Amino acid sequence: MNNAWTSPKDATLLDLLDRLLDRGVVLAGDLTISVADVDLISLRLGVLLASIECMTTSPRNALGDPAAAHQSELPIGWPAPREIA
Amino acid sequence: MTQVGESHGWYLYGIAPGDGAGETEIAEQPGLDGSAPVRAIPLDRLAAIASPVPLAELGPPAIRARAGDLDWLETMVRGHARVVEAVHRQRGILPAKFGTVFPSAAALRAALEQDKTRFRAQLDRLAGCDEWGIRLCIDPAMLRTRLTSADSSLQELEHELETAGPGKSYLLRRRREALLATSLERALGELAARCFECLARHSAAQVQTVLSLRGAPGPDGEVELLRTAFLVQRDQAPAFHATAARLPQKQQALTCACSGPWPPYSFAASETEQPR
Repeated sequence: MNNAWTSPKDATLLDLLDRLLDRGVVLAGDLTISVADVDLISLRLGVLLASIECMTTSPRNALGDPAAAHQSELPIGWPAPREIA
Repeated sequence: MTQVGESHGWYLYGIAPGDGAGETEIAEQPGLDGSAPVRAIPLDRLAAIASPVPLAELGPPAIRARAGDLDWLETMVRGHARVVEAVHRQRGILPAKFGTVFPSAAALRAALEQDKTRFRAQLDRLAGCDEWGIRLCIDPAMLRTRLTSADSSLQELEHELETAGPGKSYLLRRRREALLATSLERALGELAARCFECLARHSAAQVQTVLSLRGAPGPDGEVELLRTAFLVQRDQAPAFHATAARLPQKQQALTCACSGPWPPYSFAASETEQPR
């Protein structure tokens, strides 16, 4: 079986941060006292996680081929990022 | 209303539909820092889910100073998620960004008042839905082998390579790599799009959160093909799960990791605030 199921209870910190720091509803900025700082957290964390990733994995690219590093961000045939309500 | 001193602010977990009651405690839910209980502060047909927090612990300078402390951050993030989860199960919630603090309950009410129509509409859109995360990975080596055996020009190259001298074989190999990279990229793109469309049939909304064909390979040499969040009506969940389970059976070398049910974190932003 190639499927793995995880409940949010067992979610990794990364899974949670992914959802809690980058998403969520934003309220009128002038009334809150710390929303502006959240982006900062996000930034610091991004840097932190990136450095951890660099230490634990080799900088190989997905296709194992240096030419792949020059490929476009979106693969052919991929729909543009969107939200369909 | 609960009175808190100037040394305290109101930490917001999210916005829920109001239940017509006055300010109430959310049963058995201490705040993310484990102290004061979480409260539902009503406004019209909405309720702000918030708890008083000491600014010395969770004010902007404190969060800034401690954001690099992963243990502290994990405790706070899990505390926030626990409250959001509980309210999501009870009455539905529009989760707030981690770290949203208001100087007073009055400021929190004013912020809610400003956008109450939008929040109501978003809550209606999310009613009865859970978020499910899908992460598809693929073993590129296996796909590579399959593509080679299916592509006639690649097969021809292989054939020529068998008899070519060293100089020519170098050039042929480079051509083969270029051809293979192109067809691999196309195959991965088509596969990701196909899987996405299959899953989207059972969901009310989708966000494409990360798309990485060049992420670092996992321990088995697998690469992430697709990472998305789907908003799924609860009665559609079994069909959605069945489709997710079928994806790896249809496509060799594919693994599917599914997480959920999540509160609708990825769908809390309105249409105008496109999630990243």
